[in-house]
Amino acid sequence: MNLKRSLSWLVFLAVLAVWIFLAQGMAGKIGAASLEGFVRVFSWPAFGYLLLGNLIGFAVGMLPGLGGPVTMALMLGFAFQLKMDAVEAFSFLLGMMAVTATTGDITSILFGIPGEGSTASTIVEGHPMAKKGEAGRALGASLMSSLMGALIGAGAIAVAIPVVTPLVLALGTPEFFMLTVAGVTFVGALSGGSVIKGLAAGGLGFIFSLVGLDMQTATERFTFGTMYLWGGGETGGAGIGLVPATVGLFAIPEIIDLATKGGSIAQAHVGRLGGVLQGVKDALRHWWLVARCSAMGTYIGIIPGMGGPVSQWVAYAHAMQSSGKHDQVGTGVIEGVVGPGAANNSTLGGALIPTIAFGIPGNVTTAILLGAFLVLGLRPGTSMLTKDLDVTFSLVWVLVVSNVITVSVCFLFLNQLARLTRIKGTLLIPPLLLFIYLGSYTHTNSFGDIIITLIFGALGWLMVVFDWSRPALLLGLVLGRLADNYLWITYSRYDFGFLARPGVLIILCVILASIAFPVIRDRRRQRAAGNAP
Amino acid sequence: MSSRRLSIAFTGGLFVMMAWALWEAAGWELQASLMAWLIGLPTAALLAVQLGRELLGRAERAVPAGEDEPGLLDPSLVEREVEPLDPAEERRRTANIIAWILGFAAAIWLVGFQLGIGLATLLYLKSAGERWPTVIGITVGVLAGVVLVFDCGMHIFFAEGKLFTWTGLTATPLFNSFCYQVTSPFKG
Amino acid sequence: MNQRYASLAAVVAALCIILGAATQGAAETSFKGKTVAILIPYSVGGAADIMARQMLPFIGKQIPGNPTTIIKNMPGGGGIVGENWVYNSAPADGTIIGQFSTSVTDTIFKPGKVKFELAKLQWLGGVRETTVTFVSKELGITKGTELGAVKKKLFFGTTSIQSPRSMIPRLLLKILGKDHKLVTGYGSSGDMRAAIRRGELNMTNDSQSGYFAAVLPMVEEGAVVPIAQEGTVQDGKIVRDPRLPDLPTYYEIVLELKGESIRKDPNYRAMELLAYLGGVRRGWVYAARVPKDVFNTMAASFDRFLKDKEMIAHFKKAIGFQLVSLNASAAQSIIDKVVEIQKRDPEALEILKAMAKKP
Repeated sequence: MNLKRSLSWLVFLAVLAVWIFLAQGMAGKIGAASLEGFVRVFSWPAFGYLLLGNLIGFAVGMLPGLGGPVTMALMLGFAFQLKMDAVEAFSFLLGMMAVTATTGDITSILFGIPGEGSTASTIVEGHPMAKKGEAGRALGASLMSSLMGALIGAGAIAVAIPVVTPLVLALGTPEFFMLTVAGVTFVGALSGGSVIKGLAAGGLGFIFSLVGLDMQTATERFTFGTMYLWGGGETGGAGIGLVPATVGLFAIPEIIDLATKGGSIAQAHVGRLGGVLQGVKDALRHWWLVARCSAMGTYIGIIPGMGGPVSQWVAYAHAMQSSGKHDQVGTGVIEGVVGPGAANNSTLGGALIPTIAFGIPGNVTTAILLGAFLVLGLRPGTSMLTKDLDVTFSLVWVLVVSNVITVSVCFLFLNQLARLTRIKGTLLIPPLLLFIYLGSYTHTNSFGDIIITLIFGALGWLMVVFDWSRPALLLGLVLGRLADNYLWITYSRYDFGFLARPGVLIILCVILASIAFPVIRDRRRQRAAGNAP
Repeated sequence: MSSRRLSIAFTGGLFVMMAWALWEAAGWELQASLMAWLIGLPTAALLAVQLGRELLGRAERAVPAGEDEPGLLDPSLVEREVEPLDPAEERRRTANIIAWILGFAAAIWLVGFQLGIGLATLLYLKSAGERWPTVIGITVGVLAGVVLVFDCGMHIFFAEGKLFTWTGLTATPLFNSFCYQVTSPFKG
Repeated sequence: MNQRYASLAAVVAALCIILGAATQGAAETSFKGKTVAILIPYSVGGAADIMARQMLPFIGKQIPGNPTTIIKNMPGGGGIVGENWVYNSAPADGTIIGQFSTSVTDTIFKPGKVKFELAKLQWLGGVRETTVTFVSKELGITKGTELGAVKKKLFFGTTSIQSPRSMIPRLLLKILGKDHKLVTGYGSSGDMRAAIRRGELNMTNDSQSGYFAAVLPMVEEGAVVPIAQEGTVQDGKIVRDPRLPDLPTYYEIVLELKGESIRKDPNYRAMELLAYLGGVRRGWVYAARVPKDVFNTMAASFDRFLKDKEMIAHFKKAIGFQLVSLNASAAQSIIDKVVEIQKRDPEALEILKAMAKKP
């Protein structure tokens, strides 16, 4: 244990030394720009727009029918009409986006329905806590870790400025492909009881992701001749939408559970101690876990195509694994709330890094932000790190200030929110079903979305009954399309020579280790149990 | 069927699905099928192993936490409010809610999103034995949410219900005019 | 008790508004009180969607009766689901305008899926854009004509083998007899820019909007060099895009290197066909069923919209270059030409279809 600690410190110090070496000479400029950015965010009317953005983001995060990226696209028009300048527009748009992952966790915990696509993971441990009557504690922990994660993600932008080129361009497509496989193996092997079932669920998710019209060859894969399953989007996204599948897998089983058990969501009543403050203490107690998950979230945000929907599950698997409570999945393990809560917030900071520095948006959200950049006359690239450094820093401050404000406001009435879990189930079911169906319907605005939700609802329910890993399946679905593209780029560019790349080999070792580790651990435990009856 | 047999059936079902997927992928050209084979073969193998273990009765039972872990709480502070159900009642309630989940979807399909959600909410609450004021209050709330926020506010494309398209009627202009009335005071 | 009456009152009030509005809507003949929707066959937040959302405030005021204008998204099938819906199922009263980007090439590369006839769509207008091919500075060239002399292996990146945008540079390389490797599978232009930076690719192309927004900074920095453009169709001819007057078209490069005789080469004719296929980069259309007088009213509105100085100024600021628009008759003539060439030159068409299958 001591060795592990000192090793991590060593790595940390080495990274710090490299950073200081690269950053020397920029320090003065960074300081000045940081201050200027701070002043610009707090000047009027930018600050007013920030508050407005926070307010909208608050509702968008909470309501499962409203996704962050969709609303942001709608608000973009609003920003144009009001003729906002760059800092005002970012205060508004980023201020909105920055808090959706924070308040989305609230819906996930309270009702078992993901408020955002990137907050599904907090359902797995957070919602069981709500059922045990510990909603307040789960919310407190999630909000506190969200805040910490957002601060770390925002800090990462500032830290990344001097080292942005190696950070973003170090890995190529072959490594991205290996990372997608690593993500699914990691979550499949570590987040549940059985390694075999976990990996198989991940594999199934990969296969589900292939459903649709393959934009490469125009092959219809598993579409049963229906055009709905071709998939949507300008670049031909997946046939099975992320939101319909997520909502089906996680929310439908919770609705069945709520109606079957009767009564309210909270099956038990806990006294004052189950409250918010306890959760805050939990998050602070696990500060090191929060830091690690935030770092993961930030880096996953940098990788193109990945983002909150990925980072939350990797953080979840890591949190469950390092907590040593991997055999208590789904019972309300607090680490499983704290880790993803931090990761899905830090991801936005990470995703902004390549957007600012190279005009390479990592995901839909940053692609829309990039659109706003251009409309407002900012050209991403080196000028954002030199001439317009103050604008870059204003983004950092928007992330920080928005989360501080929102989390503080949330704490004011968290206890009231927690009380929602005590409303009679029958009254909650119609609005919850509305949000389930509306949330999935907004994927392509067709009835097919609802059918997908029902199919994945049935699958999710059976997976709960027979103890299969839903996170692994979902992550396979998220990463499968990316992996498919990365694999073909890799193959057509490097043939099989890619297997000899050092980065690929290192990630391969990590994959093998993450499979071997739980197997060895279980063996050891069995032997220990056999020796000491 | 016992729960063990059901579990075997589920695993078997997944295996059959996987095998079918591989068989289907065999007909595609290399670029489209590469991923399916690369991931599908190991997955099918894992599923086969799992199926074999379950058939031989050697599947590791995931050790459920013996009791709910109360965290830092004193167990005496927790008071259970709901008694465990008897299995027959649990099955009945499960079937009931599954029927309703499908019913909501069917209502949306038949009469469109806005009216369907409203109608299903009304029927569900009434059948759950709620009193009229509660039923109407929640129904109107749900309807207002859909129409005002999502239709008028965000212009989500709500498809016409099948019942309307079959009979040649249309509800869309009604909602459009309603939204026009609601939003016109906000336009300069 | 109070709650009961309040709820009842709310229901009654809502019904009254709905009924009142419905009768009022039916009495009008112009677009007054109606909702005109621009239907985007892609998701919210894509390039097509963002462009339409910027247009929206400018277009409503040009339509008689000042209707509410909104955007509706119907993504699916890479645009085909929405395109089919506009053509076959949308109301015929002119309240649905399709904004099509790939409908023209879809009819060639996705036959059987497309449920509309190109020749029967009614075009209200559109915008012209060129595409630009650029190479990494590692190749050490400054002009398209030097492409044949490059020593290094060319790695040309694109989203998909079917991408029409990538076919012209592929044909250029084919005519020049230059060996290259086609790397497909990238999700977006952004991914390809990153791949060029890390040396994975050394050649790719981008739309004009993408070029001005994100490639130009890389050109200024010296990381990449633009070598050729597709050009746009003006008065039936392919010309350099007025916004990029110094960058030669692929056709000029080929003609300079191979002489006039190349015009007879089917590969060259396929290249030309591609320029016409992309002639209406984004177009606004009515289904064939929309009555002629409604079409005329809306086409006139679009004409006013496309000439609106305020709108032009906004787009110049937003996308960094002047919007070059096509009015209804200009758009229609390009589409007519596409239909005509396809009939006249099946050989060129077959080359394109083959390229969509094999690199």
